Amino acid sequence: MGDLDAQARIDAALVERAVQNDDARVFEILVRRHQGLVRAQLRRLLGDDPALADDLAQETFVLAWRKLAQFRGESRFSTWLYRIAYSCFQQYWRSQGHRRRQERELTEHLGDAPGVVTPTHELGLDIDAALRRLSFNQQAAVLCCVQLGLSHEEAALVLDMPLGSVKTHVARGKAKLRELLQDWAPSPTSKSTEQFK
Amino acid sequence: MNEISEQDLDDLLRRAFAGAVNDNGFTERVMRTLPIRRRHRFGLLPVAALAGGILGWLALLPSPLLAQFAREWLVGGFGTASAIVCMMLFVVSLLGVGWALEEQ
Repeated sequence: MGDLDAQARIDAALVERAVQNDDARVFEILVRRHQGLVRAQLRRLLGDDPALADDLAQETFVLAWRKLAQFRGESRFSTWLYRIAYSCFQQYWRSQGHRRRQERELTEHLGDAPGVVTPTHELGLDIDAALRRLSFNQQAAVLCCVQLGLSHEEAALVLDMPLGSVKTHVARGKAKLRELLQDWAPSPTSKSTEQFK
Repeated sequence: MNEISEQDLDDLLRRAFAGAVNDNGFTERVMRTLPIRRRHRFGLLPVAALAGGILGWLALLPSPLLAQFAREWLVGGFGTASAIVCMMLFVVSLLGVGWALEEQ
Protein backbone atom coordinates (compact mmCIF):
# COMPACT_ATOMS: atom_id res chain seq x y z
CA MET A 1 0.00 0.00 0.00
CA GLY A 2 2.89 2.31 0.91
CA ASP A 3 4.42 1.59 -2.45
CA LEU A 4 1.15 2.45 -4.18
CA ASP A 5 0.94 5.71 -2.24
CA ALA A 6 4.49 6.57 -3.22
CA GLN A 7 3.71 5.85 -6.88
CA ALA A 8 0.57 7.98 -6.65
CA ARG A 9 2.59 10.88 -5.21
CA ILE A 10 5.13 10.60 -8.03
CA ASP A 11 2.30 10.62 -10.59
CA ALA A 12 0.67 13.65 -8.94
CA ALA A 13 3.98 15.54 -9.03
CA LEU A 14 4.51 14.64 -12.68
CA VAL A 15 1.00 15.77 -13.59
CA GLU A 16 1.55 19.08 -11.80
CA ARG A 17 4.79 19.68 -13.71
CA ALA A 18 3.26 18.68 -17.03
CA VAL A 19 0.32 21.05 -16.52
CA GLN A 20 2.32 23.99 -15.19
CA ASN A 21 4.95 23.94 -17.92
CA ASP A 22 2.73 22.42 -20.60
CA ASP A 23 5.54 19.90 -20.84
CA ALA A 24 4.94 16.98 -23.20
CA ARG A 25 8.20 15.32 -22.09
CA VAL A 26 6.88 14.98 -18.55
CA PHE A 27 3.64 13.59 -19.92
CA GLU A 28 5.71 11.05 -21.86
CA ILE A 29 7.03 9.72 -18.52
CA LEU A 30 3.43 9.29 -17.36
CA VAL A 31 2.54 7.44 -20.56
CA ARG A 32 5.53 5.10 -20.12
CA ARG A 33 4.56 4.43 -16.51
CA HIS A 34 0.94 3.55 -17.25
CA GLN A 35 0.63 2.34 -20.83
CA GLY A 36 1.20 -1.31 -19.88
CA LEU A 37 -1.82 -1.71 -17.64
CA VAL A 38 -4.09 0.60 -19.64
CA ARG A 39 -3.43 -1.54 -22.73
CA ALA A 40 -3.84 -4.74 -20.73
CA GLN A 41 -7.18 -3.51 -19.39
CA LEU A 42 -8.41 -2.71 -22.89
CA ARG A 43 -7.14 -6.02 -24.31
CA ARG A 44 -9.06 -7.85 -21.62
CA LEU A 45 -12.23 -5.82 -22.24
CA LEU A 46 -12.02 -6.27 -26.00
CA GLY A 47 -11.38 -9.99 -25.80
CA ASP A 48 -7.92 -10.12 -27.29
CA ASP A 49 -7.91 -7.66 -30.16
CA PRO A 50 -4.49 -6.08 -29.50
CA ALA A 51 -4.53 -3.69 -32.44
CA LEU A 52 -7.91 -2.25 -31.52
CA ALA A 53 -6.95 -2.15 -27.84
CA ASP A 54 -3.85 -0.15 -28.73
CA ASP A 55 -5.89 2.27 -30.84
CA LEU A 56 -8.23 2.87 -27.90
CA ALA A 57 -5.27 3.16 -25.53
CA GLN A 58 -3.79 5.82 -27.81
CA GLU A 59 -7.12 7.66 -27.79
CA THR A 60 -7.12 7.37 -23.99
CA PHE A 61 -3.72 9.07 -23.63
CA VAL A 62 -4.55 11.80 -26.14
CA LEU A 63 -7.71 12.55 -24.14
CA ALA A 64 -5.73 12.44 -20.91
CA TRP A 65 -3.29 15.00 -22.35
CA ARG A 66 -6.17 17.28 -23.33
CA LYS A 67 -7.85 16.99 -19.94
CA LEU A 68 -4.73 16.84 -17.78
CA ALA A 69 -5.52 20.13 -16.05
CA GLN A 70 -8.81 18.60 -14.90
CA PHE A 71 -7.01 15.93 -12.86
CA ARG A 72 -7.49 17.13 -9.29
CA GLY A 73 -5.65 14.36 -7.51
CA GLU A 74 -8.83 13.15 -5.78
CA SER A 75 -8.02 9.65 -7.00
CA ARG A 76 -4.83 7.98 -8.15
CA PHE A 77 -3.68 9.01 -11.63
CA SER A 78 -3.88 5.37 -12.76
CA THR A 79 -7.54 5.21 -11.64
CA TRP A 80 -8.26 8.40 -13.56
CA LEU A 81 -6.64 6.88 -16.66
CA TYR A 82 -8.58 3.61 -16.31
CA ARG A 83 -11.75 5.70 -16.13
CA ILE A 84 -10.91 7.43 -19.44
CA ALA A 85 -9.92 4.10 -21.00
CA TYR A 86 -13.20 2.51 -19.91
CA SER A 87 -15.15 5.47 -21.34
CA CYS A 88 -13.33 5.07 -24.67
CA PHE A 89 -14.14 1.37 -24.61
CA GLN A 90 -17.82 2.03 -23.82
CA GLN A 91 -18.05 4.60 -26.59
CA TYR A 92 -16.50 2.18 -29.07
CA TRP A 93 -18.66 -0.68 -27.87
CA ARG A 94 -21.88 1.33 -28.22
CA SER A 95 -20.93 2.35 -31.76
CA GLN A 96 -20.18 -1.25 -32.72
CA GLY A 97 -22.51 -2.86 -30.23
CA HIS A 98 -25.06 -4.50 -32.43
CA ARG A 99 -22.62 -6.25 -34.76
CA ARG A 100 -20.30 -7.40 -32.00
CA ARG A 101 -23.16 -8.62 -29.83
CA GLN A 102 -24.33 -10.81 -32.68
CA GLU A 103 -20.82 -12.23 -33.18
CA ARG A 104 -20.52 -12.85 -29.48
CA GLU A 105 -23.84 -14.66 -29.28
CA LEU A 106 -22.91 -16.77 -32.28
CA THR A 107 -19.61 -17.74 -30.66
CA GLU A 108 -21.38 -18.64 -27.45
CA HIS A 109 -23.90 -20.82 -29.23
CA LEU A 110 -21.27 -22.61 -31.25
CA GLY A 111 -18.82 -23.02 -28.45
CA ASP A 112 -18.49 -23.53 -24.82
CA ALA A 113 -21.84 -23.51 -23.09
CA PRO A 114 -21.56 -24.13 -19.34
CA GLY A 115 -21.56 -27.78 -18.46
CA VAL A 116 -20.64 -28.75 -22.00
CA VAL A 117 -17.00 -27.75 -21.67
CA THR A 118 -14.74 -30.62 -20.85
CA PRO A 119 -12.02 -30.33 -18.22
CA THR A 120 -8.75 -29.16 -19.64
CA HIS A 121 -5.28 -28.45 -18.38
CA GLU A 122 -5.22 -25.13 -20.17
CA LEU A 123 -7.06 -23.50 -17.31
CA GLY A 124 -6.03 -20.02 -18.45
CA LEU A 125 -8.06 -20.56 -21.59
CA ASP A 126 -10.93 -21.98 -19.56
CA ILE A 127 -10.98 -18.93 -17.32
CA ASP A 128 -10.98 -16.69 -20.37
CA ALA A 129 -13.93 -18.62 -21.74
CA ALA A 130 -15.69 -18.48 -18.37
CA LEU A 131 -15.03 -14.73 -18.08
CA ARG A 132 -16.58 -14.18 -21.48
CA ARG A 133 -19.78 -15.75 -20.20
CA LEU A 134 -20.21 -13.03 -17.58
CA SER A 135 -22.17 -9.87 -18.28
CA PHE A 136 -20.11 -6.83 -19.33
CA ASN A 137 -20.56 -5.20 -15.95
CA GLN A 138 -19.50 -8.37 -14.14
CA GLN A 139 -16.45 -8.78 -16.40
CA ALA A 140 -15.44 -5.16 -15.93
CA ALA A 141 -15.96 -5.29 -12.15
CA VAL A 142 -13.93 -8.51 -11.79
CA LEU A 143 -11.22 -7.08 -14.03
CA CYS A 144 -10.94 -3.91 -11.94
CA CYS A 145 -11.23 -5.43 -8.46
CA VAL A 146 -9.31 -8.67 -8.88
CA GLN A 147 -7.05 -8.41 -11.90
CA LEU A 148 -6.10 -4.72 -11.75
CA GLY A 149 -6.15 -4.77 -7.95
CA LEU A 150 -8.33 -1.69 -7.50
CA SER A 151 -10.42 -1.16 -4.38
CA HIS A 152 -14.20 -1.29 -4.73
CA GLU A 153 -14.31 2.51 -4.39
CA GLU A 154 -11.76 2.96 -7.17
CA ALA A 155 -13.61 0.47 -9.38
CA ALA A 156 -16.82 2.43 -8.81
CA LEU A 157 -15.03 5.52 -10.07
CA VAL A 158 -13.59 3.76 -13.10
CA LEU A 159 -16.85 2.08 -14.07
CA ASP A 160 -18.94 5.11 -13.14
CA MET A 161 -21.41 3.09 -11.09
CA PRO A 162 -22.50 3.11 -7.45
CA LEU A 163 -20.29 1.29 -4.94
CA GLY A 164 -23.07 -1.16 -4.10
CA SER A 165 -23.45 -2.12 -7.77
CA VAL A 166 -19.72 -2.80 -8.08
CA LYS A 167 -19.81 -5.09 -5.04
CA THR A 168 -22.86 -6.88 -6.43
CA HIS A 169 -21.29 -7.35 -9.86
CA VAL A 170 -18.07 -8.71 -8.35
CA ALA A 171 -19.94 -11.10 -6.05
CA ARG A 172 -22.29 -12.34 -8.79
CA GLY A 173 -19.45 -12.57 -11.31
CA LYS A 174 -17.35 -14.65 -8.95
CA ALA A 175 -20.28 -16.88 -8.07
CA LYS A 176 -20.93 -17.53 -11.75
CA LEU A 177 -17.23 -18.18 -12.39
CA ARG A 178 -17.13 -20.63 -9.50
CA GLU A 179 -20.13 -22.38 -10.93
CA LEU A 180 -18.54 -22.56 -14.38
CA LEU A 181 -15.14 -23.66 -13.15
CA GLN A 182 -16.03 -26.09 -10.38
CA ASP A 183 -16.18 -29.09 -12.70
CA TRP A 184 -12.57 -28.44 -13.64
CA ALA A 185 -11.16 -28.11 -10.13
CA PRO A 186 -10.65 -31.44 -8.40
CA SER A 187 -10.09 -30.02 -4.93
CA PRO A 188 -10.91 -26.77 -3.15
CA THR A 189 -7.40 -26.38 -1.72
CA SER A 190 -4.48 -24.71 -3.41
CA LYS A 191 -3.53 -28.17 -4.67
CA SER A 192 -6.34 -27.76 -7.14
CA THR A 193 -4.44 -25.06 -8.92
CA GLU A 194 -1.01 -26.63 -8.69
CA GLN A 195 -1.62 -29.11 -11.49
CA PHE A 196 -2.37 -26.32 -13.92
CA LYS A 197 0.85 -24.42 -13.30
CA MET B 1 -18.58 -31.56 -6.83
CA ASN B 2 -15.90 -29.31 -5.32
CA GLU B 3 -16.36 -25.66 -4.54
CA ILE B 4 -13.48 -23.36 -5.55
CA SER B 5 -12.42 -21.17 -2.66
CA GLU B 6 -12.44 -17.37 -2.92
CA GLN B 7 -8.65 -17.28 -2.66
CA ASP B 8 -8.18 -19.95 -5.36
CA LEU B 9 -10.51 -18.12 -7.69
CA ASP B 10 -8.70 -14.81 -7.15
CA ASP B 11 -5.36 -16.54 -7.76
CA LEU B 12 -6.63 -18.13 -10.97
CA LEU B 13 -8.02 -14.84 -12.20
CA ARG B 14 -4.78 -12.99 -11.46
CA ARG B 15 -2.76 -15.67 -13.22
CA ALA B 16 -5.09 -15.56 -16.22
CA PHE B 17 -4.49 -11.81 -16.51
CA ALA B 18 -1.47 -11.24 -18.73
CA GLY B 19 -0.47 -8.12 -16.81
CA ALA B 20 1.22 -4.99 -18.13
CA VAL B 21 1.92 -5.00 -21.85
CA ASN B 22 5.45 -4.20 -23.06
CA ASP B 23 5.85 -0.75 -24.56
CA ASN B 24 7.29 -1.79 -27.97
CA GLY B 25 7.17 1.75 -29.34
CA PHE B 26 3.66 2.52 -28.11
CA THR B 27 4.70 5.58 -26.08
CA GLU B 28 6.55 7.09 -29.04
CA ARG B 29 3.49 6.57 -31.21
CA VAL B 30 1.30 8.33 -28.64
CA MET B 31 3.73 11.24 -28.33
CA ARG B 32 3.72 11.73 -32.10
CA THR B 33 -0.06 12.06 -32.13
CA LEU B 34 -0.45 14.43 -29.17
CA PRO B 35 -2.18 17.62 -30.28
CA ILE B 36 -0.19 20.82 -29.81
CA ARG B 37 -1.67 22.81 -26.97
CA ARG B 38 -2.42 26.40 -27.79
CA ARG B 39 -1.53 28.71 -24.97
CA HIS B 40 -3.96 31.54 -24.32
CA ARG B 41 -2.20 34.87 -24.41
CA PHE B 42 -4.63 37.07 -22.53
CA GLY B 43 -2.33 40.09 -22.92
CA LEU B 44 -3.44 40.28 -26.54
CA LEU B 45 -7.07 40.87 -25.61
CA PRO B 46 -6.81 44.64 -24.84
CA VAL B 47 -4.92 45.06 -28.14
CA ALA B 48 -7.73 43.21 -29.94
CA ALA B 49 -10.33 45.41 -28.23
CA LEU B 50 -8.44 48.56 -29.21
CA ALA B 51 -8.03 47.35 -32.80
CA GLY B 52 -11.76 46.58 -32.92
CA GLY B 53 -12.55 50.07 -31.56
CA ILE B 54 -10.34 51.78 -34.17
CA LEU B 55 -11.88 49.73 -36.98
CA GLY B 56 -15.36 50.64 -35.74
CA TRP B 57 -14.36 54.33 -35.63
CA LEU B 58 -12.99 54.17 -39.19
CA ALA B 59 -16.18 52.47 -40.35
CA LEU B 60 -18.24 55.31 -38.87
CA LEU B 61 -16.15 58.11 -40.47
CA PRO B 62 -18.37 58.61 -43.57
CA SER B 63 -21.50 58.57 -41.41
CA PRO B 64 -23.15 61.83 -40.16
CA LEU B 65 -23.48 60.05 -36.79
CA LEU B 66 -19.87 60.79 -35.95
CA ALA B 67 -20.28 64.54 -36.61
CA GLN B 68 -23.41 64.55 -34.46
CA PHE B 69 -21.52 62.64 -31.75
CA ALA B 70 -18.72 65.26 -31.84
CA ARG B 71 -21.23 68.12 -31.57
CA GLU B 72 -22.94 66.47 -28.59
CA TRP B 73 -19.62 66.01 -26.81
CA LEU B 74 -18.53 69.61 -27.53
CA VAL B 75 -21.64 70.98 -25.85
CA GLY B 76 -21.24 68.45 -23.03
CA GLY B 77 -24.42 66.53 -23.78
CA PHE B 78 -25.01 62.84 -24.24
CA GLY B 79 -27.64 62.30 -26.93
CA THR B 80 -28.83 59.52 -29.20
CA ALA B 81 -25.82 59.80 -31.57
CA SER B 82 -23.39 59.41 -28.64
CA ALA B 83 -25.30 56.37 -27.38
CA ILE B 84 -25.32 54.71 -30.82
CA VAL B 85 -21.63 55.41 -31.47
CA CYS B 86 -20.55 54.15 -28.03
CA MET B 87 -22.69 51.03 -28.42
CA MET B 88 -21.26 50.33 -31.90
CA LEU B 89 -17.67 50.81 -30.72
CA PHE B 90 -18.32 48.52 -27.78
CA VAL B 91 -19.83 45.80 -29.99
CA VAL B 92 -16.99 45.99 -32.54
CA SER B 93 -14.39 45.85 -29.75
CA LEU B 94 -16.16 42.83 -28.30
CA LEU B 95 -16.10 41.15 -31.73
CA GLY B 96 -12.35 41.87 -31.91
CA VAL B 97 -11.82 40.18 -28.52
CA GLY B 98 -13.95 37.20 -29.56
CA TRP B 99 -12.00 36.82 -32.77
CA ALA B 100 -8.68 36.97 -30.88
CA LEU B 101 -9.83 34.28 -28.45
CA GLU B 102 -10.99 32.07 -31.29
CA GLU B 103 -7.69 32.43 -33.13
CA GLN B 104 -5.52 31.57 -30.11
